[in-house]
Amino acid sequence: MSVDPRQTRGLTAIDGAMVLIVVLLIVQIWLLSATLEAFLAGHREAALPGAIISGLLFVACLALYLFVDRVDAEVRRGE
Amino acid sequence: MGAVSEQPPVRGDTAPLSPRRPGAGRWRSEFPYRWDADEIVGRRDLLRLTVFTSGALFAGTAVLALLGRLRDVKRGGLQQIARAGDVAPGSALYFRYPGSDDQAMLLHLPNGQFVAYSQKCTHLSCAVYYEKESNQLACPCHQGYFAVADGAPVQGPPQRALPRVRLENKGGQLIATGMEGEA
Repeated sequence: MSVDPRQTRGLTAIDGAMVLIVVLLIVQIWLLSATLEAFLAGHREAALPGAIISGLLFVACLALYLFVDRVDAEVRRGE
Repeated sequence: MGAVSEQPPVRGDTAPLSPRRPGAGRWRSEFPYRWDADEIVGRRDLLRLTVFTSGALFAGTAVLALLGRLRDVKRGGLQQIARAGDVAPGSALYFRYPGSDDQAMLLHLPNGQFVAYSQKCTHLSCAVYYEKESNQLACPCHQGYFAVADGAPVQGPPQRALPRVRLENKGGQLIATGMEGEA
């Protein structure tokens, strides 16, 4: 049984993107907990940088998802 | 294979399913995936879920930032407290700031400096008082003490400094202009 190299590349790309997204998600969870702790401690000025960084991480996750979606579509078109 | 033909169609592999126990039809109709198809679907769904989760985490952090901005706008306007000459060195004047329910205290330190803090203890919100004998701010509930110079906790259960009221001296008038490090 032969494996289509494009499909293998596609799956590798999806796996890599998933790992990256999960890492970004862990950072976002930590960021939210740290921001909440600082906010409740009265350091409300820490919330804005936290929100900006979290927004950037969300954009990175979205970009990775769109990348995976594109790779997936290309592999399906080639089948 | 008669039992197999009675089962609903399964997505994924086209290979025939092995015979199963009677009664397996219900869960198979509710979850019509073979294990390999389930893995592929799960991967895409997981990706989508993680992106949604990322968006939700961003929204949560953004709400915190927004709340901080709103509270800054709502509270802490200018408020005249007293004339500088009306508060003797080594004494305190109690007032309400930034809201009418928020108790605060103005201290005239022996070195001539004026400082003001919230009266709410950062441990369990008891009222903090100026103790002239020890020149410290004391919380009588749990014997917590704060330094008069910067409001930092020096003894007892409190771990965080008292929120500070920003002061301005305009022509002998002491004016509160906002809060710092408010809990």
